[in-house]
Amino acid sequence: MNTLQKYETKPLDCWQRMKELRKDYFLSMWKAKERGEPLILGGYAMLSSLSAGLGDCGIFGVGPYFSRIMRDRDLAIRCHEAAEVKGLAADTCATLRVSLGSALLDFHNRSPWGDMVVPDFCIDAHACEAQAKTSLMLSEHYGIPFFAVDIPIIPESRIEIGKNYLISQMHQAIEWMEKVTKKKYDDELLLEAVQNEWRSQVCWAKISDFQKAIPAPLDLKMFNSFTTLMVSAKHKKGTADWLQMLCDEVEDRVKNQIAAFAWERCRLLHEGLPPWYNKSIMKLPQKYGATFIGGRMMFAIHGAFEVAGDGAWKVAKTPTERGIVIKNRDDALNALAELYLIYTPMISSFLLSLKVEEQVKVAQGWKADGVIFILDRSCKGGAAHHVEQRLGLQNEGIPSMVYEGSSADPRELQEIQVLDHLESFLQSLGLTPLPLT
Amino acid sequence: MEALDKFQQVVTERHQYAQEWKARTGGKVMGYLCTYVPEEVIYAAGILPVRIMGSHEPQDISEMHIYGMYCAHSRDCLAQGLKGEYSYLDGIITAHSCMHIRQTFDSWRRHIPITFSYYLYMPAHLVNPSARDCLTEELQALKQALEDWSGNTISTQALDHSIEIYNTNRRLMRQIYELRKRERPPISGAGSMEMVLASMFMDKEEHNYWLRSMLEELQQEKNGLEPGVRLMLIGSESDDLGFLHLTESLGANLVIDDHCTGSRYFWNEIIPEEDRLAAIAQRYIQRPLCPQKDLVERRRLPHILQLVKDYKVHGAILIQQKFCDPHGYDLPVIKSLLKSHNIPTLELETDITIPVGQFRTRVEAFIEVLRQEIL
Repeated sequence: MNTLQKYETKPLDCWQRMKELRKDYFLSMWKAKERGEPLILGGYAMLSSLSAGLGDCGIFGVGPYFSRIMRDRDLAIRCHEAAEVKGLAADTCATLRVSLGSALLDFHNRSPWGDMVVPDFCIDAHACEAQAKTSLMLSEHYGIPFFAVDIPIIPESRIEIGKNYLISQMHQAIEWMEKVTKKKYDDELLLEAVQNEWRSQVCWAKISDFQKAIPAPLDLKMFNSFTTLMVSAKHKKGTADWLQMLCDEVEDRVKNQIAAFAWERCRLLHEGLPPWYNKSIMKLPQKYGATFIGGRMMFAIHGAFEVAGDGAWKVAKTPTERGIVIKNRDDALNALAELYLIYTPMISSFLLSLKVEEQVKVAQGWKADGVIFILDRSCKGGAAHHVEQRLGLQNEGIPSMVYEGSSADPRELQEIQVLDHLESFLQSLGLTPLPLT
Repeated sequence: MEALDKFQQVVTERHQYAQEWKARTGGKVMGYLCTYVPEEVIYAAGILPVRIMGSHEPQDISEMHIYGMYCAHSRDCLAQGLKGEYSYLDGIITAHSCMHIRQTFDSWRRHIPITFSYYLYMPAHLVNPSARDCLTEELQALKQALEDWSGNTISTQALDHSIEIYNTNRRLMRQIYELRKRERPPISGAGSMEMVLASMFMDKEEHNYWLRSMLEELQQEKNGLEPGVRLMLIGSESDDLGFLHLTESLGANLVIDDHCTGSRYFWNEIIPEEDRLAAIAQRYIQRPLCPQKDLVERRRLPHILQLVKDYKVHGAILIQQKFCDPHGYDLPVIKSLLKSHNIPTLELETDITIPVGQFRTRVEAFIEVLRQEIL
């Protein structure tokens, strides 16, 4: 690990295209009402295709200003305090609390031009305890109708029961959206969106898989940036095409040993959502020649994998690659249900039954030298079983450390303590700071 | 009162009770972690379902499995398992509820030897019309798994018998709760909770025997408790009897609750249908909701308000397990609802142990304020 080798690095060629896409989606969201398109609240990273049959829509997702808020500590704290004044405890989901707080502070729905834009309805998938609960509060705040799609957390042996339940709810959701918007639902658009959503997730899995290479072609900070597109627009052709572009480029980087970090000699995984407002934790390891190459959660949240009984992952194939033709609404909803219930490890891991085994397999498969867990006080779903995962890693001789904090509440992070702790951990791996280059 | 003494004894000696039952009947004992587990199906297989609870004693054994930012109840339950207090269990089962208790279940499965462990998917969006079909199918799978494991066939007659016993149990407890509407309730809040907790540990047939005796005695009770400030308890899992005794020692009567260790456990019965499992599913869908299951319609609110009116509640203590996020999302709304109906509230957070001195001061002040308002 102490051998020093410098790898070639270069920026991603497709980075600019990602920024353009993000800008396009952002603008189209704010202009949706002007264009007479529905504006939809909710839909946090799952089942994005469901609303596609309504035609072009604006999608609020977790809130259009989340990134901006995370860059402004004072603003983030004001959002949290606004939600807390309403009685929400500081251990409720911080990401969603920011969203609610910004609504209570009257800027969640204020366009860059100062218009107050009210969403038409709210639809959300409910997998963790916080999702539908917060969306309900937001829909009550705006006085708009709300539909929750309950994501069944069910063992693989009885997956058909869960699939039937989810598909039935999605059928109801479509009928409900038609009723609420008085728009005719176009199944052809749904079919296309489902293909895109699948393509996006398979690409995400492939890109994650490429991270097994030494040196890693990307780092976790880059994955964090890609997330924006995946949260609310993974069903769009532009997103799926861009991810394919990224995938091709990353494959090329692997072939040519182009690294995200020139001095990679130690590979780390970060488990749990990163503290979005803090950059130093992600950067500090580089001082020691270490880099965060990703994390089980980051790969699992948007990636489509086949999960074996021992917790090992294999990049999944799209329905088309498996010879499945999606011909109608039933087929499309079936494909969507399978994507999330069978092929998205983030969802199945809420069951916890394979979460430890998956963690060990990811650490081994991605050749991690150490794993850093955030015990996220305000993301109980993400942090569940982190201590059990640590025990699993210990049994395999894989070093790990934990720190407490919050992915979206800066008040919960003792930055200096965490950095000291991280630095000690890196030294315990036998690393010394890189010589100045 | 003999029945109450019996219930207190069972609550205190719950492990002994289960072990004696096992020795006496030769049957299996199944631990369950959440009241959404359909006990009727387990009971119909000749198995005694017992709810796994904490001990409210300081412990340090669960921290390496469940981090301290998850609810104390889930950690305390696991600690009991790791300490071997439930070594007599033949199986363990949970129903899909919160992430906290799912960790308890999975850590238990991983670290405590057990021959049968089962996770039942319980839909979260219960007003959705598909939830009933989904749960019915899940109950069919559970029935099959229990039959395979226990070697006992769960016949229609066995299910009918089990449903009858469970319905009787619920009806009797509800009748006893009805008596708490009196100006002078014949039973305290702590006594009522002991009754419900005992029901979770005992063979329901035996519990029913004692309930009948208790009901008869309470119906004839002319005096009852001194009239006082009438309080409601609302919140997450709560079985800390010490807190209830403390509150009632300060001059209040706890007259009703919305807890899974109280009314939510038994409030509604199974309405018979040709498809027994569908009938059971319907009962669990219709029961007063845990906040984890109240996603869109806020069905809990009118139910709580109705209880407030029926039981002439003066104030409510909103008590939740620290870090219980499902309740954390509901409490502000419940507080606001009660405020709009002029029902003052006091919010308390519990841990494995409670800070008695602090709680005494706060509850006493709350009762004093209420007393002034009533007068």
